[in-house]
Amino acid sequence: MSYLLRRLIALPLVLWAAVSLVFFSIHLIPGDPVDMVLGETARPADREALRARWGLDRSVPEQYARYLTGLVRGQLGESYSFRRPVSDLVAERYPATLLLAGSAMAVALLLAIPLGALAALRRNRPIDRASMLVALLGVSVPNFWLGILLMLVFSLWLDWLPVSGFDGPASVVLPAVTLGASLAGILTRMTRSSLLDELGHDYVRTARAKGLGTRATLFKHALRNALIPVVTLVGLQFGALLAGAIITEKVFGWPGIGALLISGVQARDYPVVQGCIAVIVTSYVLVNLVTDLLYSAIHPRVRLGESA
Amino acid sequence: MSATAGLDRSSRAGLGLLLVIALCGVLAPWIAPYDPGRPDLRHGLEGPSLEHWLGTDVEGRDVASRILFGARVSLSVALAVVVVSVAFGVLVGGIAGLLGGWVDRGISAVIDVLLAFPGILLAIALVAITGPGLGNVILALTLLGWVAFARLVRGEVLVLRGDEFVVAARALGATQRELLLRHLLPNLVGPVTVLATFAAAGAILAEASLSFLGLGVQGLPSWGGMLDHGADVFLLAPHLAIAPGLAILLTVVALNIVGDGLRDRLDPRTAAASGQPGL
Repeated sequence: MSYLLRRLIALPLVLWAAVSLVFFSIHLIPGDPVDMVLGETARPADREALRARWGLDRSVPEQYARYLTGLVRGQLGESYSFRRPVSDLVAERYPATLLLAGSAMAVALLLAIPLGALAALRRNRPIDRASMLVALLGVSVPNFWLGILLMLVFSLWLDWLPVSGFDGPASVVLPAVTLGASLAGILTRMTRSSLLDELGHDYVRTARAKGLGTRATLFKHALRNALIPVVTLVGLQFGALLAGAIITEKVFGWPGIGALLISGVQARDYPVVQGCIAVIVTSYVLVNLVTDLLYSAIHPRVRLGESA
Repeated sequence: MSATAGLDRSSRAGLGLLLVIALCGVLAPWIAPYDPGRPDLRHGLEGPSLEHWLGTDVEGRDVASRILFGARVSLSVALAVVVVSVAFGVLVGGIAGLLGGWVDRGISAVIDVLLAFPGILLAIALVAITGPGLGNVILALTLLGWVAFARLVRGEVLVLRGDEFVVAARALGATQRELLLRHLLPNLVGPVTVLATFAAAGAILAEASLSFLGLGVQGLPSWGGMLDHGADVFLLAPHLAIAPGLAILLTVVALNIVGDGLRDRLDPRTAAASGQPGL
């Protein structure tokens, strides 16, 4: 079976496994969502009406089948707390999350490629050590803590940037740096090691022997090749950024799907929790698939599914 | 040979730092200056002083004592997640690699599906549903934690099973179980230890993230939970957010440094990268 076919089959399987795990976890634990919304003192008639409206009067297998059928049609159910279709809520908030993840990716690339390249070119010198220290801190820092510190310094002490919410381009800066810090650390290390690897190849020596300058050798040859694995990693990490945005959105009051998920978790609004997870997992898997396919297109030496 | 032989200076420093943090956690009941749970409302939100080195929180509890006790929670969660993930991952990956055939294909399919999950998202969802608490946090983080170990071990076993020592052991009548436990496992200790170090760092960050979202360990002082409370009042008392964040950062940095050092020691190719010619 071709690799592409296997990946395409795996796509709905992953989504099915994720939503099923969440669905059954919700239904296996004790507690009635109607009690949570109406309180335990509500009139039985009101309770029954709400149970019927949400389909909770049916058996669990029947609810599961209805949920999966709805999911295939793009219906994610109705939110308990917002009393609106979850698909509408997700559609309203998803662009903000994509903007945040895209900006975080841009921040990570803008920091990581120059820093990683500089570290490789000046290896074992102070600038290399400083870059690697910054990268280590980037991958180790809890991003919600970094967000709080950035907010404290740049919003409250210096008053340069907005504290929270989504209000113009300036409000993207701090959440994007917060979310992108970890990826910047990973990419800096990757750029450095990949470039060091390329600099050891014969073609670099040949280019230099032919009289090509340092800058031309670096930008026309070595860096171009060194960035292939970095680009792959960027693609694979974009999905992780979408998932990681949940916490950053909470710190900055960012009106994205992560904040919606957290509000769903706090209100025990299970259709919202299920819907957000379905959307994030789908995006995550799709982005990873597209990255894999692009990687094989950019780099024909790699045979999909056969590379180590 | 000592455990730290071959490790570079920074890795040894990381290991030392890690030991100090672990000791702080273990000895917390004896070295903490105050009871971490005892409120003292008259001294709420005080800054660092000689009496309270890291100040006090909203309820007047001593932050330094809570940081020391918080080390117990963070390190316990990391240890539990890593031990269970290693045990299960090594077993499943070992079986897949050793038996091959449909067993390997089936296990590999499950691994592929689980690796496609964003781990933190699922952990958030599961703890949100099952309720916060030490056990549920460990369970949620282990549910996907074993997968990386299974994939690593499967790959290693696939490489090793053609080696002469395995062929010889088979010829001498070793059972599959003996092969895995007595012959293959000792060869897997290195790569598994490296992955375990990074997994522990990941588990500490994940636990802190869950606690920050109010889904972590309840009733015990945890660094993520302290950060969550500190974030609410960080205008009034920045130390409340800075101290637990620094504790998490130092622990994760130490684990990552040790992991990097172990990896370089076990895989000379990564270490050699820094010795190659440049422009």
